[in-house]
Amino acid sequence: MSGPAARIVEFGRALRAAGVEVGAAQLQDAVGALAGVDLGEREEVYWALRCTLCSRYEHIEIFDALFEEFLRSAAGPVEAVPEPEPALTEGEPEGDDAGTTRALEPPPARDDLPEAAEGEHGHGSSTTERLLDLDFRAYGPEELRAARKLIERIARALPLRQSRRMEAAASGRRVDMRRTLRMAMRTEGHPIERGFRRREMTPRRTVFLLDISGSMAPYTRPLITFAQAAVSTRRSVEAFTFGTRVTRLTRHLAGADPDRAISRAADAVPDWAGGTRIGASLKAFNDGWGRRGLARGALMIVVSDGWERGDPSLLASQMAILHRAAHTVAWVNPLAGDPRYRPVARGMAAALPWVDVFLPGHSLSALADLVGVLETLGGRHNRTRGPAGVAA
Amino acid sequence: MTAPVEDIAGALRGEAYLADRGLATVLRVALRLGKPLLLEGEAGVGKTEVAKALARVLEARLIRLQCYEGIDVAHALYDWNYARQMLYIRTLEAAHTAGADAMDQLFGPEFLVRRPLLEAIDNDDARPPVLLIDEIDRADDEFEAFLLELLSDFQVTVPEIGTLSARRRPVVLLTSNRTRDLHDALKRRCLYHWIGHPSLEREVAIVTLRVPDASERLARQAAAFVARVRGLDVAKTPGVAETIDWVEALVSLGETELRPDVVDDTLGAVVKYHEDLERVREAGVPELVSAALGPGASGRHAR
Repeated sequence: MSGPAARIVEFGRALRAAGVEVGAAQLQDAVGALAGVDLGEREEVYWALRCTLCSRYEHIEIFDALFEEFLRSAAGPVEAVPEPEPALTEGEPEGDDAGTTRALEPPPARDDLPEAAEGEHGHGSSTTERLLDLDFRAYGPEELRAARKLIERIARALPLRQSRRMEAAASGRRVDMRRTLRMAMRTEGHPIERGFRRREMTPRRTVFLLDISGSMAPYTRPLITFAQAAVSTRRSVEAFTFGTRVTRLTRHLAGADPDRAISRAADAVPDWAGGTRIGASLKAFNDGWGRRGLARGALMIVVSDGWERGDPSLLASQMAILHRAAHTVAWVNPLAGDPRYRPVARGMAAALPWVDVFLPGHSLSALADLVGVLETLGGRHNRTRGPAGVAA
Repeated sequence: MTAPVEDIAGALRGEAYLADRGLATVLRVALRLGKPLLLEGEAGVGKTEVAKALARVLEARLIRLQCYEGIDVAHALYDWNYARQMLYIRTLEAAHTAGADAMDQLFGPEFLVRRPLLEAIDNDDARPPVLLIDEIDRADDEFEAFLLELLSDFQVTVPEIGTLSARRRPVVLLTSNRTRDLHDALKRRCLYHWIGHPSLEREVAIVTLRVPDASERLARQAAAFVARVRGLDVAKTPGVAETIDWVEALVSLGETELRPDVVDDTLGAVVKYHEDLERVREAGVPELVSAALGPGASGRHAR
């Protein structure tokens, strides 16, 4: 492989180190693309490399910065480097999970403790019972570990909706012409037996907005576990955190190993346990994702204690926008687990008129209640609602 | 591979599409490598237009597949004409001529309904067609996975007929409004280009190219006005498409420059949501207009 190719491999390595996924195929394309442009023209080189090596809007900034460096180093002597080593194809980005977890300390190794949540042995089920109504605030690492299986099971029960996609059915109102015709061949072309089609049920898109400000800290770990379980089992679930800014965590939380997923997420979030500006965060979500379609028809689950440091009127207007786009807006407030709780915090009061479901979600059974209530709202539920929801 | 188009920007301009250096280079690379190109960007920045103009430049047929939620193989690839099949069976039956070959015919090309993807793959065109897969982000995961397969080897299997493969691979463009993340595997198959809002100069050039009846002064003022609206934190930022529509409307009203009352009346061409209209009016239409006329704008005639 010639000089430019070797430098592209080098550039690809730098991109990967910065978190931009670049595989061997892309590098090959980049080499091919460069062969078709004027190498003396900086802009042509830039576009040829960008369209082959950068496939994500969020990565353009990183790409631009590294491209500058690439050009500078390209001015240096050309060294001959052999073919890209096979590690390029599947190699995991280095330092992916080596980062610190800051606010979220994962529980210690699992194997020294019984899997209490399985609930198959005497010890296990009593632990489960004890856990069910225990406030997450009182959880230690041990409880969290024991509760994880249950949290995951609850998360998997999030509601379905009717899809536009059709599936075969034994009865219904729409005739499945394809199957009917096939069956008619057995009866000399008479469509005696008929096949039908009906709308498939698919998971409703669910979007978690998790408040990770300081006041929510005792609940952050179990609730992010809940979101992680939901994200990892279904592609239609998205998760965002907010405090002073909004971070999309879906990609970080996906993956089978919850500990690694959560530590990846922890690395990605810059504002753990800081202040809260719920209204501004919602606005950032609405502007950046919600209006573009992520919130449309979705089940929105806002997890927050409603302590707003910013302007409550902004929170109210953003909740209104969210409510208009979404199918259901659920607000999970762990403080509401206390029977004496009244939603008097300014932020909470401002948001409530736009909330369809208001529940505590402060314990396992509260989470199960939440999923149960959401299920009754799912499916064939038609939206003919004004502003005032369940909680008003 | 398609015949190389050296000056692709110039050729596109001839088709009333003004491509910047980036897009022109990327299109050239895509044609050269024979890879699908994924275009992302806000609504109204001209993603779909690229495909239309490119097809004209290549003198190729444009085959468009508009994606939507629930789209499946029967909508995108092929289906059978069941009503005709049924009639055919009954005719055979009445004539007592049903034989093995008649059954074969039943699932032959005659009864096949060809949808866009099959058209694109099984084509006899002199030049490979341009396949536009529009708003892929609206389709679901299953469909994305199916497309992925199709884009990797450009062949499809129709169980009743057999495997059809593209003799000449179509030029494939995909567009996405980024309402959701596309699968990495799909992105790896494609080249990627982000189309942003154009600069003021560029937008003026696009508008005068697309609305030849508009004076350059009107185009400039309208583009400047729209640029200010984009800065206003509106729910749906107006794209070039909106600027073009708006200028067309203004021209048809006989306007030669922006006037606050006419702007107010035609604002619906620029912003499409009620809240956005209010947002613009809050910011003050006369103020926005006079800012758009600005020191750079030549004519400040009193009317």
